[in-house]
Amino acid sequence: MAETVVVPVAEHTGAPRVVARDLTYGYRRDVPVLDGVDLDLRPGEVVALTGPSGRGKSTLLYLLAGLLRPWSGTVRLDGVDLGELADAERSLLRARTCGFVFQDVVLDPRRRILDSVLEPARYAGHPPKRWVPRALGLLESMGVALQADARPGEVSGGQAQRIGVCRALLMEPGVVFADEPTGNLDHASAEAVLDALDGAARRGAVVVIATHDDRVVDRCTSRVVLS
Amino acid sequence: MRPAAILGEAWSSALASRAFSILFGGLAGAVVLAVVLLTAQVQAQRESVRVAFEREQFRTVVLVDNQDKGVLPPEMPSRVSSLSTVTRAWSSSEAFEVSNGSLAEGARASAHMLEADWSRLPITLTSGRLPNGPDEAVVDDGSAAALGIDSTGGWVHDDLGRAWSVVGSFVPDHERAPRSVLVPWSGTTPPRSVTVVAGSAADVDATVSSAAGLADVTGPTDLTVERSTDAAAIGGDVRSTVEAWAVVIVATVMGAGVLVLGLLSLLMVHSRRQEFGRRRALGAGRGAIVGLVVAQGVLVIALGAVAGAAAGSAVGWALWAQLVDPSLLAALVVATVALAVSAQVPSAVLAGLRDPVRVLRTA
Repeated sequence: MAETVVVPVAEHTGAPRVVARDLTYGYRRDVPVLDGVDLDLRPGEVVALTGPSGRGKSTLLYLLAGLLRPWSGTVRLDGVDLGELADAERSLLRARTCGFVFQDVVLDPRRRILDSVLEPARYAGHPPKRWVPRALGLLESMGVALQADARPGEVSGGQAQRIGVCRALLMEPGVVFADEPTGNLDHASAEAVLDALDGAARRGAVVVIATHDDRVVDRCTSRVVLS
Repeated sequence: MRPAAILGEAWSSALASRAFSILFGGLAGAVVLAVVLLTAQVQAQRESVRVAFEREQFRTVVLVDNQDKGVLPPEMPSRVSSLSTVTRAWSSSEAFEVSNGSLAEGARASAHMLEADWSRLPITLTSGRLPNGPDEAVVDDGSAAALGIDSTGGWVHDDLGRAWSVVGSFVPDHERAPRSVLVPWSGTTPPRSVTVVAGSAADVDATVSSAAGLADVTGPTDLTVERSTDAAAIGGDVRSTVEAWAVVIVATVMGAGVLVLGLLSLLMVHSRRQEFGRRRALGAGRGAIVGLVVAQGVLVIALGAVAGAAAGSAVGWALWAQLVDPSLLAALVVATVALAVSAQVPSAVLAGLRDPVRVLRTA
């Protein structure tokens, strides 16, 4: 079972956007991975979830994103208790409020890169066409604009992860969750990804990154250590 | 997701998953094609059975004065012929024997006197002509051979000394057509029987009632009606049996198709588990995932079913000159889509219920 230590690195003001209270969860009955986690994450904060493997970094990420229901405790996103929402409401809230960067990018292998980036707009109930200029702008800013019409099999791992970040940032989310976003990247690609996440935080988003990478931890404004 | 977005996504997925789309659509198309072809073939068989039992011999009814009470008036054929359901009628005397007048000793053959419009009798002349008067006769080929009368003609006489010149020979057109030696009616004796040919098999019952109403019947046993009821019943039975088997085959084909579609759908959902996990993580609700799987199935299967219906109609026309009723085709396509959707629901629900975290952690 993990212990949680919150280490603030920089001061953040304003009402917390993500509030977790007494979160407990495990994958096997009576074996909690997380027990009694409390968090307050404010706009502009870049939080690193760190700790050895198996201590629940990704699990905490999924709980905060509403992908898992805690055994006990609550998660509030912009004041909304995720536990009180039905699946459809929670999914819509996630689509409109959250961005997700997966450890393995998980792009649709059958679609163009641009269509993959536009995917969150569909779930948020917006016509994807309206978001094409922003998607192209994000791809441009991440240096992968030339791949907009390519298929996932035609891009490198580093390019794919940058594309995953574009997808996560498309809807200008208030909260960005990233699970080991630089795990398999070279230095330049990792820097590009972190710059983009920093940019989102500067615009007021909460960025939560589960990571082992010290480069990432060093750039975060606070750290949650699961040990 | 909005319904239009789900449809758009479903269409994109259908295009992207070409192998499954071809399998789904192809299977639905093959099922519909098979059912349409079966339907066309059954229609052709039904039509062929109907035509077979629509032949004149099955439309012919014989009213017999079996107790010789004279219940059949001599003018009955002309009166019956005026009925709208009757195509022709003739009356016949009781059979009597004739022999070849040119031979001292010879075989004998049966003969009948007929009251009829001779030109409309169901017989085909093989030589000579029809009688012009009461002293002329025609002989069927079998009786001519038995009596020793050749195509050059001859004459026949009975034991009462009546004689008739044989002016032609014929073959009966069917089993219930007049046969033997036929001579025009003479005298005032009431006919022994009246034969009536209805316009169609469906008119036979009405024809029997109408014709019987013209007879001077006083009791239920005065008149015997001979008709091909057994043949008609057999025809109906054959049609019913063909239809029943068709229904069984259609149900089997549809059932097997639904089963295979359900299994294919499960396979598809399993192969796309990572995709559904990603969609869920990015904000797609369970309902959207279920709708996506079902809508993709509906689009592909509907296309396949329509193509199968079109191909089946074309082949059915080419093979049996049968067009299946368009409303039946539409119902078949709708039923196929409905059944296919119901077959997909379990796998769609499974896709919706799949834990996205488990998928993402094991991707």
